[in-house]
Amino acid sequence: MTSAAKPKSDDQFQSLLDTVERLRRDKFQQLDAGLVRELLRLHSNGAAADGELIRGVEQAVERHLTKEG
Amino acid sequence: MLQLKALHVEDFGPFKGHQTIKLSLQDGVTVIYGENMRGKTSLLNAVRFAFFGKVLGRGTKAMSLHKVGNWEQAAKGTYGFQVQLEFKDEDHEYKLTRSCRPRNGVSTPSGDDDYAVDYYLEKDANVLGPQQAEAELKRILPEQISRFFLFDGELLQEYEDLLSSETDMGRRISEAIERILGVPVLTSARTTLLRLKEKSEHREATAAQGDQKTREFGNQLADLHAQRQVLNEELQRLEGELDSMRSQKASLEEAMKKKERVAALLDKRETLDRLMREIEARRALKQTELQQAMSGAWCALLADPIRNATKALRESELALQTELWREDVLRGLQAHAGSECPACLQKVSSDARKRIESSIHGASDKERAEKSRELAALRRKLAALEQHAGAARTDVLRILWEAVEEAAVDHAAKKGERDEIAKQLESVDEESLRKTKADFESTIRHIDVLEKGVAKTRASLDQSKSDAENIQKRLDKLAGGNLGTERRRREMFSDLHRLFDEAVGAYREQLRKRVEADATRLFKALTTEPEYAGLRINDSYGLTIVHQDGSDIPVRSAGAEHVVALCLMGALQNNAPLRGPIVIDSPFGRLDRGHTKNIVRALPTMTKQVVLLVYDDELPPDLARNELKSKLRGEWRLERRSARHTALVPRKD
Repeated sequence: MTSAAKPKSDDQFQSLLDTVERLRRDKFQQLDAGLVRELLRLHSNGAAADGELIRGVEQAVERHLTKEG
Repeated sequence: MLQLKALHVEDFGPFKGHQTIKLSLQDGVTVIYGENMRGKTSLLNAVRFAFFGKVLGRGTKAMSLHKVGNWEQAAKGTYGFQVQLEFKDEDHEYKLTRSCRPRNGVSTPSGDDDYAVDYYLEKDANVLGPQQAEAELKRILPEQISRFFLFDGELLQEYEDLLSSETDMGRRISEAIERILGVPVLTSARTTLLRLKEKSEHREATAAQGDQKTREFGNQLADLHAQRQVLNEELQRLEGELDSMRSQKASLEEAMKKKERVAALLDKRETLDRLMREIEARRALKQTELQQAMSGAWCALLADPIRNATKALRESELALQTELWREDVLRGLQAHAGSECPACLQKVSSDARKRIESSIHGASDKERAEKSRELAALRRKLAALEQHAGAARTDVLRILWEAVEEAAVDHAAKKGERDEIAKQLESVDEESLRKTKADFESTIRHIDVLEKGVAKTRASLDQSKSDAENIQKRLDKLAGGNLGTERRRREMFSDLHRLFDEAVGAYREQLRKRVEADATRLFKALTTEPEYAGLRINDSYGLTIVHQDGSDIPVRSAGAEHVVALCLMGALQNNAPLRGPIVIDSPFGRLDRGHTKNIVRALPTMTKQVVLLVYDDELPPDLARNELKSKLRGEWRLERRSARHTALVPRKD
């Protein structure tokens, strides 16, 4: 068994991010790594309500599109 | 990480009055010893009640709260109970208090409706508002994954269902596993992005409608998107209903599994009832035949006189018959003119002829007629006597009598067996069992209809999507208005959706590998069988034991099932973002000493805090002390005060 002292939720987020980032790098390079990370972070907070989550994602994408011009 | 500090119970089950158990925050195991019926399951339920407001009976069926309060207190007129749990999570101190009290105006509650359940949560000594408290509790320990933290050792058997993709229980556990492992973070992102992708497609279609060149495609797309929305809503409704039906089926399956023995007894009773009816019919038939046979049975008493009389009559019959035959022959000779006998064709001498004539001289026709009558009367008497002799057939009577007796004995044996079963079924609610069976069958039919509906709606949705894609491709070749901006947004959401969709599959695959590796590591430490090389995981997180020659071990005992389930628990704890205490009721009941030792030794590596609810024979204190050594953080005992009163005391022996 691994040590019980292993840090957890950050570990978990990093593990999810590693998976998504690897795929982004391999197959979706057109997508911004920062945006993908932000979307994942928004969904990691399980307590956020559905509508709030959709608004958050929409705003993040809009910000990115505006920045890209 | 969630860690329990103290549990205060007040009139909860056998725990009369206010009682407290304190738990160490240092890594290790606390053992609570209690013999059967002292309240081990009640303690597990007290933790469950504090977190979720629920109390479960054996298995997963919710118990009536009215029955949870201490009986001695209720007898004195004090109803209701309270549990307070002190715990720590992410450096914050919490105090969760949940009570169940009679509603205002109810002095003698008689059912759950007469109680009100209320709770409040303090965080670092500040009472949180209801919404905040609810959100905090959901974050700290979501009920859907509580099965990995608070569980009854007996229910570890359920994890076998993960090996079959067919069972709804397996599907339910598999979903809970994915939940604890964090898969919903990705699936939820995928769902959000799909919704936003569809929204952006709709915006693009609207933009296309605003330009002359692209209007036709825009209109067609808008129609298809509207159709897709309707189909999506229908699919969501059907899938929601299907989920709830599958959960219902799993619960019913579980209920039926628990009632399996009772169902078998009911079936046996029905079979016995049918056999008894058949035996009774056979006995009645033989009884009728016997009664008929018995009507002439008195003749058996006269068997000897009848035999003698028959013999005498037979002799008289023979003599009379011979006399008549002789007379007939003589008359024939007299009447015959020739010198030969008409019977033997030999010559009849003149002397013989003279003797014949003198013999028949005087024998008148009247006398002959008299003899004939006498012979007929004799024969009637003989016929009557023979009939009585036939009626007195004792062998036939004996066979019939034995058949009746045999049927009676058979019937009595079956009745005895049936009465025994009836006694065992006395306290069983047969109606509820029948209803469960009927509900189960109806649920299966409902699921079948819903599955067909889902398949049909998905096919329509696929067709609609394919049509939209074709039009989209044609639209992509055109430009106009603000189509470019909308197209960029749509492409962005589409790519993001595809990325997260693929990430779900990739992450699941990684998790399976990690869980398999951790479970195997733990299994090797727990199993006492040196030829077992490890565990192999399937798509539903079911684990199969693998032999060192590489082959699967297809069948495993209840004890092995138990060990494998504990390995899965350990692996999940190690890979889950949420970690917490493991509170297990009767975890070693099915295990031999060797496995018990190995598991006790491995427990501190599974999570930081473990609470074991055991009885002495299941985990002898010396064994626990030897194996856990410094990791043994506390020993408590459930001490009997009365049948309805248990005291929580530190174990000192």
